[in-house]
Amino acid sequence: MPLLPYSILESARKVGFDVDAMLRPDTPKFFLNFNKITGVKEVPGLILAGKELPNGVMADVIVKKGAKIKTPIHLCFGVVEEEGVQEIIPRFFIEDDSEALILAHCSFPKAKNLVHRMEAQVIIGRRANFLYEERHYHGPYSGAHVYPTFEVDVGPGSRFETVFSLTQGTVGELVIFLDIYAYEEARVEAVAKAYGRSEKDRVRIRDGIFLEGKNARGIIKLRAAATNGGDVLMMGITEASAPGATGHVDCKEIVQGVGSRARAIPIVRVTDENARVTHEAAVGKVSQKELDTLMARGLTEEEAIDMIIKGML
Amino acid sequence: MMLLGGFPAAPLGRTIGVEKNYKYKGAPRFKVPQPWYNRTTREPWDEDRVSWLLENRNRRLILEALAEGALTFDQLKERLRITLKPHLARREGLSQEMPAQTLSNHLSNLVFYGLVRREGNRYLLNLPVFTLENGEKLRILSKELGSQLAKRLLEVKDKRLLDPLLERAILNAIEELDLEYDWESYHRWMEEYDADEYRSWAKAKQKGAMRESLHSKIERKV
Repeated sequence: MPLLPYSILESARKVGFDVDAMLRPDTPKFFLNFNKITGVKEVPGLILAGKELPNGVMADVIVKKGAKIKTPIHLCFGVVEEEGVQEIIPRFFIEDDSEALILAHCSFPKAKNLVHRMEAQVIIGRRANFLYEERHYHGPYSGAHVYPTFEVDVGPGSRFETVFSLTQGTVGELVIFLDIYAYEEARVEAVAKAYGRSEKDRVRIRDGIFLEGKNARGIIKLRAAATNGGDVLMMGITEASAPGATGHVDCKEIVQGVGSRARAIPIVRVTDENARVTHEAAVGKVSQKELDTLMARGLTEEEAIDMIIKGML
Repeated sequence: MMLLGGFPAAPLGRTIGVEKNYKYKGAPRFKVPQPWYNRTTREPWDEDRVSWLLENRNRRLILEALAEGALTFDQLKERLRITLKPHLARREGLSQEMPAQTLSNHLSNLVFYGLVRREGNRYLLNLPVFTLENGEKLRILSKELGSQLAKRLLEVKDKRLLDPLLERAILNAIEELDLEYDWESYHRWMEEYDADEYRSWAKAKQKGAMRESLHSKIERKV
């Protein structure tokens, strides 16, 4: 029996994941098809525990102290049904001096009225390195309603990067809430990319970094595009409450077509006199020069806009 | 159109923002709409609901810790260890400590904005924080109190006694409303508002409605 249905694997390929590597028997993985755990593979230094719930799964991902997991850990949360509710409640523990890279893939290729909720909590110990990348594919019908929340504590001297992207297919409704607390000397980077292609697509992303420790550093990068009536609102908050903490919020959005809306709200907040946070934000249409160049090479206007947006995302 | 302080009155059903010449004292009634204010859903970036002070989980934890009683700085620091334990795996969780300087910054903000006060070396909460447990206790208590009150009212056979009781209760309620909203010192563009007229209207309305509902209940029971 295959670990995942073909349509989920196909959408993983669409968003740029190496499906062959994902399915290799020795690749650390945790696969979920709706509320059924279909594949779990642990490697030395990694604990994966999961429990099926009526509408989803509860899971623990633990990277043990000192473990350096070189192969990316693949997580897949897929639903092939058109309707339903999937709820994921994971906890991630990245213990002291460990390293891990997680590639998560959420695929809802046939979603017409599908709700996906995730309530993730992450805690990272001292001097650890953790990268979490999540790519979504919501199919062609704008029928997914996706509401993930993340709360992350990054310990002293640790590094945490997170990348969220939803740039292929439609969006439907997407509301993300991310809070990262960075302690002494921690380094944090949060990147979010989304593309609302039609009036049925609504994106709300709110990423927050709270620099709680001395010399902690954080950067938020928000990239989005709204075309053909799409609605995108991205908010990046950086709050520095410790001496020497530095942060930056960078928002860039493209808006194209009648009725499209793109908004960017960077919020910078400093409550310690020796901290510093900066921001930049830009929302505008596609550059005419770039558009002309691509159209001169035979692309239609629509194809050219799509290519420029994908280049930015 | 009536001009107030040099500015046109807000059209009916709309609110106006705070202007330079705008003078009024009393509690602000109309919030200035924020750019991220979603009027229909009020989610997820509603500054009315989540003030920036409470946006930070660690500050919320400070308030939660102080809700159980006054604490010194060191006690507070000890209490504010963030610990996460696995859902399923048999393994100890991980903990994070809040640095002293950060805790001190959070506390000074909470003190400045009046959520917390300092007495000697102890910090105390200036506002009630209801935990879910306390909320549930309060709900049960109010329910019991309400049913006891209704029972006692129903025991009053002499209906002539009900009217003075109701009168007193309504007057109390209106006095409390007056105190809470400070009607007199209201918006200047509400100059036409007549406090006495409002009171008599509210009194008549509430009295009529309360009496009617209570009498019908009593009559049904009796």
